[in-house]
Formats: sequence, structure tokens, C-alpha cells
Amino acid sequence: MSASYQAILWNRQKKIYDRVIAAFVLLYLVTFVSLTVVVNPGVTQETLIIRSTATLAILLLHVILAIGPLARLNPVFLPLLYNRRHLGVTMFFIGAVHGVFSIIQFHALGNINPVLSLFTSNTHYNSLSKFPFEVFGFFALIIFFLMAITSHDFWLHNLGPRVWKTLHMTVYAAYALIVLHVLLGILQYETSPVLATVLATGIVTIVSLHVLASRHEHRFDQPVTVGHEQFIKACSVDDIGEKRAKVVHFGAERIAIFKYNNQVSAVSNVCKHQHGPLGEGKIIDGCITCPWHGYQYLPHNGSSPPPFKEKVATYDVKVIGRDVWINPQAFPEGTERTPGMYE
Amino acid sequence: MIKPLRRYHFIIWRTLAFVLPFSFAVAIIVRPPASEIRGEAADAFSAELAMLNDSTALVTINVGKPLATPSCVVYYDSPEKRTLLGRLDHQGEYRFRIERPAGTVTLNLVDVIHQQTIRSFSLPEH
Repeated sequence: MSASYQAILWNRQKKIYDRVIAAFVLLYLVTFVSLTVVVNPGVTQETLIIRSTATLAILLLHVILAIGPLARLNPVFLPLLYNRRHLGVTMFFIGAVHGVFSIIQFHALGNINPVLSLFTSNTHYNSLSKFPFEVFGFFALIIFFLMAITSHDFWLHNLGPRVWKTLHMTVYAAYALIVLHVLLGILQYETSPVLATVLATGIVTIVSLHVLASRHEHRFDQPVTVGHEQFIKACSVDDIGEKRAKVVHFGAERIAIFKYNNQVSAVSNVCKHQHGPLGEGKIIDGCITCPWHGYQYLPHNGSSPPPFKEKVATYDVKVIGRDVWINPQAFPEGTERTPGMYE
Repeated sequence: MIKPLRRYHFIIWRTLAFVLPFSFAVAIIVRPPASEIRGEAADAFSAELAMLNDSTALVTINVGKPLATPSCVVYYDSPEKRTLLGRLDHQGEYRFRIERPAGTVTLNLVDVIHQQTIRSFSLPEH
């Protein structure tokens, strides 16, 4: 939504978010190292670095993957979503430290190229218990790298929200690779049940949250076929909170019907920034405000207030009695439509 | 998210809901017995030989405990000659590429300061 380029649009919330992340990372590493040294005094520095960064990166990955569905299921978690990319980039750097130190420790000694060694030193590709699990971690790190370097609005703008979002959805493939990395790696050599239990809990939690959230979303995606220029009864004005919206699905994409100052306007539910759900936002200072990153649009024409240039589609809406009727044929983005009025 | 991405998300997580628990169960089933895991970890040195292709083989030496000698170098000995592969400095996995051997490979770990052989391995060609 920037009118001019700024590398990072810092605000108070971002600074607090980053400080909390930094404090947590530091606290985790200090706790992990202290406990390990107490329990296993003979542990080497290399092992400490590799294990502390591995466990921390996996923990952060689970937190990152949980934020999305939690925010879909309960808006209380939305503040965690706003700067999730900061958490993602942090996780990548910690994972990269783990990867680089592991390659140095296990593949850089000898006369073979370390990366080549990673793929050729263990050739048990036909065995599950001896499978070269490091390969899974390597490819997951490549995905995290691509995500980290594109975690900026510059790339979002240049790639377009759809390509960008698709690229960032490869995190699910990376998660599966990381789970396999652990299952066929350390879990094959770990005699304590703690690791297996913690990993199983993490998998069940993440999968359950995402299945629940996708089921929750899927319920709204059952389209209703309507004729051309036909108004459909969407809801009652009493179903919509003041300066809030009701999301309906009568066509290809969802529509957000906003109620404000005895008026009703309808716009596309999809924010231009990261496809956030506008209908879950509210009207602030006269503008529909996306709950994800605060992008704003005027309700009667779907245009961002000057100097910003984002626009979303608008819809014809009218109020008969207390009933809100909507024409699901979208007007071009930024088209001004007269709001429906009610007493 | 727009509708197509929501659909992909729905499909991906339905798939992962099956794949991940299944992978977890398989990984637990194929896990070596605990006694075998502990036995491998207790050894200070272990070595393996793997054939990479028709002309090359890979020697992997695992140093499982801190070295007790001031120096440790690895020699690949054949009836014709002794070849220096490299030095072992500390714990870790060391890998050396060698020409594919005709038969059994003999490795000697030598403390060159005291001129003592620390450990010998005879690795048969698989």
C-alpha cells in the first residue's frame, strides 16, 4: 500500500513483535544449552549448536504453522498473524545455522565436496531406517530460503499476490520434509521416548488445526448459482454489527457486506495485499480495514484512500425493509456504487 | 486466501493428515532396537566402505569419542603402496574418496608423533 518505497515500514507493533521473538530465541538457546551441559557434561560445542538450533527451528515452525489456522478459527490470534513473516525469517536463519553446522560437522571433513558428500556419503536410499535423512532437511532449507528472501512487500508486489501466496504455501511441503528429516534421522538413533512424543504432539496439533480451519472455510465455499442482474436476499441488517461485515458467497468469490452510518455497501472479500479476508476486518476512520495488515478501502467504491492505489471489486446492494439484497455480479475494481440505505 | 488456494489448502492438509501419521508409524516400526543403537554410539571409531561407481569408492570414518592421541592420520594400505588419505582432528564423520579397490580395503589410523597404529580396519568390498 506504500506510495513510495521504504525497505521496512517499522511501527511500534513490529518492534514489540521482533523484541519478543529475539527474547524467546535467546531464552530458549540459553535454557537448552544450560540443561544439556548439566545432563550431559561431555557434550561438544558443535553438538550443542546443531541440536539447540534444530529443536528451536522446529518449535518455531510449529508456531508459525499454527498461527494461520488459529487466526481463522478465532480472531483473538490475529495480532500474531500481522508480522508472521518476521517469525518465518527468524526460523530460516536458525535452521540455516543448523544446516551449515551439520554440513561442516558431518560432511566438510575429508576430501569430498561437502554438498556432494551430503547426497553421496550415505547411499542407503532403499532403506528406511538408514535412509539419508539429511537430504530432506536440505530441500526443506531451500524452500525456507526462497520464502525468506521473498518475505517482503517488494516481492509480493512484483510476483503478485497469487504467485507469492502459492510460493509461500510450499511451507506445507517443507513441513512434511522436516518431519521426515526427524523421523528418519535422529528418531532412528534416539532411545528416549521424549522426542517421539513431542514430535507426535506437534504433528497432531498442526494437522488438526489446519483440517479444522480448512473445514471451517470450506463450509462457506458452496456456491449458489444465480441469474444475470438478479438480486438475492443475503441477510438482515440486524445480522451485521455496526462498522462490521457479513461475508456471503453467491458467486466465484466471497463478498463482504459492510454496515455503517445507516448504510450498507458490498465489496470483494479479498484484500489486494495478501488476499486477507476484508469481511473479518472493520471500518476504521471511514475505511474498510483488512484484519491482516491494515490495508484500507473506501466502502462505497472499493478504492484505497489517496495516495494509495489498491482497488477491489464492488457490488450493487439495496435494503428492503430490514433485508439486505445483493447483486452478485461484480463491478470492475474501484467502481463507485450507491450504498443501500435503511432507517 | 482466494478460492483456488483455499481448495489447495484443503486438499494438502487432508493429504498430510494421512501421510504424516502414517510416516510416523512406519518410522517407529523400522527403528532399530535400543540395544543396537547404544552399541553403535559406544564405539570410538567405526569405518565403512561404499562403492560410488565403477571407478570410485567412499570411505567413511566416524570418530565417536574425543581422540586420546596427539595426532591421528588415516592411511589406505594396499599390497603395492600406502596412501595418505587425511588427518582426523576431532569427533565427527570423515569421508574420503578413493579409487575403487579390487578387494578388501585396509585402513590404518596412525599416531604419527608416537609412530603407533591406533586402529586398523579391513573393509570388504560389498
